[in-house]
Amino acid sequence: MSEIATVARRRARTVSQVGRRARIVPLVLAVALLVAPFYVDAFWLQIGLFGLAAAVAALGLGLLLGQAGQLSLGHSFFVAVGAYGYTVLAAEDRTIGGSHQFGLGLPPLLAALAAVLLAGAAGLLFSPIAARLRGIYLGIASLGLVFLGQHVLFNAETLTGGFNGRTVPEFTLFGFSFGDLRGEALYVLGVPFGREEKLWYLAVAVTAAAYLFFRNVAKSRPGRALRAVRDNEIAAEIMGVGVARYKAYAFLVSSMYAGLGGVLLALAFHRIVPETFGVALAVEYLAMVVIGGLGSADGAIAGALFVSALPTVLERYAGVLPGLAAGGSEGVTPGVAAKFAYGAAIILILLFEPGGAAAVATRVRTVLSPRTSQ
Amino acid sequence: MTHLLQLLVSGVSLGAVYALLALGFVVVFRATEVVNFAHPALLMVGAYFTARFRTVDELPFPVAVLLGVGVAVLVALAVQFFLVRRMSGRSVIAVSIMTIGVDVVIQTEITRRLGVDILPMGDPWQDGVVHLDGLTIPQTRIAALVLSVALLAAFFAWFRYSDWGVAMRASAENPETAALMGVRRARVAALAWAIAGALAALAGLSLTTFPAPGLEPATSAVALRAFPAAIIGGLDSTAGAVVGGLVVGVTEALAQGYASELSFLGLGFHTVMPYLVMVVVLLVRPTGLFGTRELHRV
Amino acid sequence: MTGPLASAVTTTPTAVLSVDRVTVRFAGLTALDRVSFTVAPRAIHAVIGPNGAGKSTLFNVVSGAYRPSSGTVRLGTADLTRLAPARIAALGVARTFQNIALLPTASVEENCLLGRHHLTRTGFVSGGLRLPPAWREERRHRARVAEIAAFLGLGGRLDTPVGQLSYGDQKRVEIARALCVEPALLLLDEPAAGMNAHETARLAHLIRDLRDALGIPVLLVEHDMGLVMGIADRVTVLDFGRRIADGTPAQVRRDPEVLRAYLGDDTDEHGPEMRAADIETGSAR
Repeated sequence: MSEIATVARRRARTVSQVGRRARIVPLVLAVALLVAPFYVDAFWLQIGLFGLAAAVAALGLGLLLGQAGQLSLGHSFFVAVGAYGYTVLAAEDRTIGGSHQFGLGLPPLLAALAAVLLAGAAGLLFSPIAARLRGIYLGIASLGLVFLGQHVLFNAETLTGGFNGRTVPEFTLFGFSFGDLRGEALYVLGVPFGREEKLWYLAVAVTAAAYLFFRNVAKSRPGRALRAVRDNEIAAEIMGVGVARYKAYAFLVSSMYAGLGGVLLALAFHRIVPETFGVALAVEYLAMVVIGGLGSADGAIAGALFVSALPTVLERYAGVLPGLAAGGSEGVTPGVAAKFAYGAAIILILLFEPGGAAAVATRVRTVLSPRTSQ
Repeated sequence: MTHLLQLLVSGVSLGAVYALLALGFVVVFRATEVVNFAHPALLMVGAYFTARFRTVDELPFPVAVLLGVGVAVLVALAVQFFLVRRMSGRSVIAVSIMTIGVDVVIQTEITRRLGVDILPMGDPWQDGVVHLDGLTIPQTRIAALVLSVALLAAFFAWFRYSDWGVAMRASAENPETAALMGVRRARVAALAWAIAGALAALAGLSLTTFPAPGLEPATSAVALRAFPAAIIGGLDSTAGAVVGGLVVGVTEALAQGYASELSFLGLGFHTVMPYLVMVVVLLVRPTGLFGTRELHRV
Repeated sequence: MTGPLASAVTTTPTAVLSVDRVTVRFAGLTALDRVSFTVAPRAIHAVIGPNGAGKSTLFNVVSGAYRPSSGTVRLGTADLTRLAPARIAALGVARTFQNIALLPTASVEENCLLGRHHLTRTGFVSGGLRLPPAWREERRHRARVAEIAAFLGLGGRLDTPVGQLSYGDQKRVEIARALCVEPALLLLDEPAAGMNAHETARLAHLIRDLRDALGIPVLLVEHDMGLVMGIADRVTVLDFGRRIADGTPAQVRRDPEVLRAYLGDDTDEHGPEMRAADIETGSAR
């Protein structure tokens, strides 16, 4: 009896040790994120901005596909609604040359919130269609949404600027502008803070909030209901979960995430074109959540940063890495190499470790812990 | 009136090609329960190698086509044998996402090789036209129509009457029982994928000859329309694939032909017409016109 | 045994389940043909019959998975055949499934918490923002789940993914989840399937204890005659979708219709009195 008590006591101590160790990682990460603008140059911050925008959108897809099990290939459509929604709502209405560009000139914060709500509304509108469709039919129908959406983006020139796109209005918060101010330079602790630095903090804050919200949802009643819908619809219904309702919720929340990611993406790009929001982007988001690990918040973010940064990272170090040719020449360019990489990653992960990077990380953690679970 | 007739002829010949594409896609789904998102990639592979064998190696056209089809079939078999088979027992969605990965890899390679080039197919018909009753029909379109009809007829006859065809249908209907009765599932699966590869390659041929300038990266977007065609017909219905293909072809041709009247719907509307029709059909019939099965088994 | 399971069930104790001329037709096949019976409050009521008699179909109608072609099912005054399954669950109808319908990657606790869904209200906003009402509710209901799980001997395994448990344990999780619904009516779909004699005996005790503690009716579908005859207060026999007998176990055992259904038309070798053993071996056609 005392043997068991000793083991129990030792295990409790180990658990708290592991707990302490586990808390260090996010802490280090948080500090790194906060001091990044002071040590990292604007080029990499820009990459980071794209990564964080992708992360927010990926979290949304993770909720829809990972938690609720709904295969939607139309995520880039809702991202576009957020991006263009913000742009149209915040831009000033004007006529340049012969073309009229519609804008409502709303305060950027209001425009951003409205864009997110607009994306959510679009998701809600799509959900009754989605609820009637099973599995793959839903996947392909949502693909149709992307094509139709892009078509509108290319053609509704007064709203979207058509093929050439539109400039994204700078974000301001209570008078503080996140864009580059002409003639004025902002210095923080001796470091010049330009657009990228300022937007960085905005993006980090938004991503952190999105991340925490996701985790809270996953751990509580709505998350359980979504997973029940994913794993066993009939059992879920009989246990009292309104399946059609929760599918609608899933679409609503995930498209709001997509819209939010779209706003960040628009700010990161500074100028958006319809070309961006096509099937290729939708497949990229899918790659992000698959590679990161379906259903995992950490995985969504890791996958997003990986997939969005990979082409640029490869390009930067093309000289050093064997087999990579410089852009424009014969052979495997960094952009192409990145696509090969994440295409292959999707295949390998689904074949061998469907839980993605998150599952691999869990395994590594278990192996490294001082005591194996018995 | 002749304008409408012209468009209908055009639409039917285009539709027959889409039917070929959709059919290959549906055959794989019915025989192996896999939604193969890499189907457009198979088309690109077949078309690319046909063009290469013709223009670079200067082989005679029929030989180049045969070889191109052969490469596509090999790729299809490789995907089935090395990847899909390893995922037997997994959910439909998991395997389908895996095929998305395959599509990315294959298409990236083909696009890389194409670069900014447009590869001509080197077909014997080129831009020749036939005048019939006031209609002007490209020879390539007639060839495509004849080829497609022949292939479709051959396929359905084979599917219905031959031993292998029956085996495939039995396997699709009830895999366990079919296996117990001696149907080798592995062989049926391989055969299904081979057929898909061949049909895709041949459809690719028809999509890259006149009036198309040749094979270019944008061709894969055209190939993607096999999906709405298959969905409209119903993912598990071979007859539905043909109907879906025809619907997509005809509506696309009409939309393109009446583009000036439909200019308010935007430039290039005909390219998204298939998806619009698909969404409309799905609203009314969530499993397509002739589809039956619940895809997501509980 | 009564303590841990005492709960705040609000349906009246005299609520009765009455199945009234329920007919279910699938593409030409009549799965249930004007089946009627009544489950008295606090009764353990078994539905038996040869394979294909329509027992699972009946369950699916009561729990709302199927809509009958005609007929009604009433729990108290509520007509279950006109309600969505989620609403039926909210009325306190809980069931287990013949083929285990648990979420295999989720823990025992998570699966049981699903049973609490209709009793809780945390939504995306309060859950996502972790508002106090949300985590207070969570804590309360986790405690209740722990209680129920402990009662069924699953207390130490709350965090274990259900897929890793033995078949017998999974069946217990199914029952635990059903109990977490705080049921007014418990539907058990072949609870003894795959169990040996010893496990079945324990199950029999458990079902009786549950009925005594909760004071609710239990409707069960079973093949195991020993279990049925041992604990059922009343038995309804189905064959080819029709009710062919309804009464106490003793009555049913002697019913010639039942005899015919189970043992075929050859009645020369057996008198009208059937021994329980014959039924137990279940020599169905």
